[in-house]
Amino acid sequence: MNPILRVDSLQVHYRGAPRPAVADISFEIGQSECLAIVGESGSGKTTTAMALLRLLGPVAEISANAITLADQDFLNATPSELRAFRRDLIGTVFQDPTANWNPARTIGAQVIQPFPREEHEERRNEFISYMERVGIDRANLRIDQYPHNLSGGMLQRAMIAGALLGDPRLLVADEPTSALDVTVQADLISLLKDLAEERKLSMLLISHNLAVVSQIASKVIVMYSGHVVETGTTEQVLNDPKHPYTINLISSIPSTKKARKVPLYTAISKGSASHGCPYANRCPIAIDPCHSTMPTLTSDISGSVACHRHEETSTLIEVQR
Amino acid sequence: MSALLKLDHINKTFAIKNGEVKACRDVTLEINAGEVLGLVGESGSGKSTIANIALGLESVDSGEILFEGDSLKKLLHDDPRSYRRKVQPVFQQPLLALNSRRTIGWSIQEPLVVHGIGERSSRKERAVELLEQVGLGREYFDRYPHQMSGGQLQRVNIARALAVNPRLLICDEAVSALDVSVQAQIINLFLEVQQRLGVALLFISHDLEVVRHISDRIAVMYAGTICEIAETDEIFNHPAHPYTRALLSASSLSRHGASLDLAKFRKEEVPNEGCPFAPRCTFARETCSTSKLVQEVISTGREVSCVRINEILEGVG
Repeated sequence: MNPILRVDSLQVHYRGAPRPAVADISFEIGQSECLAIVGESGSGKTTTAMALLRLLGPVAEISANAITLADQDFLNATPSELRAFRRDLIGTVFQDPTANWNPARTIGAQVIQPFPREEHEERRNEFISYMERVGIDRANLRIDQYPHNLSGGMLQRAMIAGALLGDPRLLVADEPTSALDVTVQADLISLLKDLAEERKLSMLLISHNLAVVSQIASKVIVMYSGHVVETGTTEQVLNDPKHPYTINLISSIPSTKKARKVPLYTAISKGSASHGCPYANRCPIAIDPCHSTMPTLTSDISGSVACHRHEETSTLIEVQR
Repeated sequence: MSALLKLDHINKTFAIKNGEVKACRDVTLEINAGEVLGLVGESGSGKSTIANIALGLESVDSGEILFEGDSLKKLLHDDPRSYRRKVQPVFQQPLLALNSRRTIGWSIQEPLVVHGIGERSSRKERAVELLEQVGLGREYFDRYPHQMSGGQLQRVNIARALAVNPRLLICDEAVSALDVSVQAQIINLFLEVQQRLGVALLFISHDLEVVRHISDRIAVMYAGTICEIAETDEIFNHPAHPYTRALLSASSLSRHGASLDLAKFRKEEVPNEGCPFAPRCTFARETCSTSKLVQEVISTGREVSCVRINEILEGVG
């Protein structure tokens, strides 16, 4: 089966920045499939999503071999084609729920605006029913309220509801649950899983919450400093990580299994290397070649990893869960 | 050990358009010197109201607040600055908490100036010392907030709070806006500050794992009531209150694959009488919505607000 989204060798360079924000990322998302990109802030995960939606504007130079979504060419589309693609094919949930609503218009008006006038009545009802599904009570009143009338969690849920309007093929969700309570988070995860089945909705999830990732994503890409350092199935990457950065990322999260009150694992950044592996300066097992030669992605059946010592990492560093 | 800060039967109601919200319902809470008390609960449960009350930024409708045995009302009336020197806040948004047009060095010296501590030259020295204490160097002294990352800014806010040698830090979602690896660094810094300086923390968060990691004791809030307070391990290993149980299972379910029944966890209208959790509670009986809810000690170090707690613990269901 053809993938819904195909990104081939995407690179993004912000004007004036010393190094690319995204250096060569390729991936595919199939129907009803969820791919997660994880990594710390500044790793390029949000830039990747915004670049493939072509939302970055002139400050960013984008190059790629291909970006196709549902057989439409996103790379060479005209602005008006892009607007139509975004409306019909993609639902987007942005990171900061309070910053991504227009404070001067009601939430209903903002969500319905992209659709043709004759559809407005229908879309409005659809929005109300989605708002109820994401757990906003009295949705028929809420729809005519302004963003300041809703809490941050509610705005985030309203944004998710709005993203589902018009039956998109792909949902791009940038930290969709970070502002939400655990009970709501659990609700939302099961809703998104249901929709993936029911509506054949594919998803690109961007998150640093590995618990959420392990719940909904089937594949994971780990990014560090603009580079893909590890990819694979969610189970593979989270249970048997190969790259030292992935191992340390998992180790730095507080968890019920860890001893309380002891310092969590952290690696203090000492600036990134100009040649060689971007993680070399923070890596506990870096050797000489790591500082001079860039490791390439090496693939096997379970996934791929970009590390000179990928065969021995699991014996050298222990994952602290 | 006597409590550093004690909230005694606090009630607080906010008026909203068509009615009122009870942000605190008969809340009793103690923070001991040098301990970390975690406060968890969903949004709207009243966590931040408690933080604001503890900081003396919010008045109460009824009930009393005692700091080191003295009434807060009296302390704030007699000498508000001396109380503010002892209790300092660390907020959620590190950037918003700092003056964007002032240097980091200025911001850290500001509390010293306000409280009249030290001379011009010694203040500068102290600010550098504080910067180093929170893991930032002298080179950050002349920077502006927009030149720094969220994690670095939160370190600055912690340095600023520590400048006046407080006894208690009120941390309202202080690590929630930070991403995992930075979050780990700031959690470590809080632990270090608590252990080295003996500062007590009221640590408010909706992230159970974070609260578990840092807290000695945990208070669980729901719709303005304290459902349960106990030692951290007790809360996690033997949750007693039905809401604590639901909260823990929601968090572990979201981690371990099972999905939750959506309808069961939809937030119902919170009743004004009786137990606010009753409409969502699987153990609820009629008595829950008619009886007065009391926060009572059920075993050493554990307080629970639940009318049916004894029956539930005996397994009557």
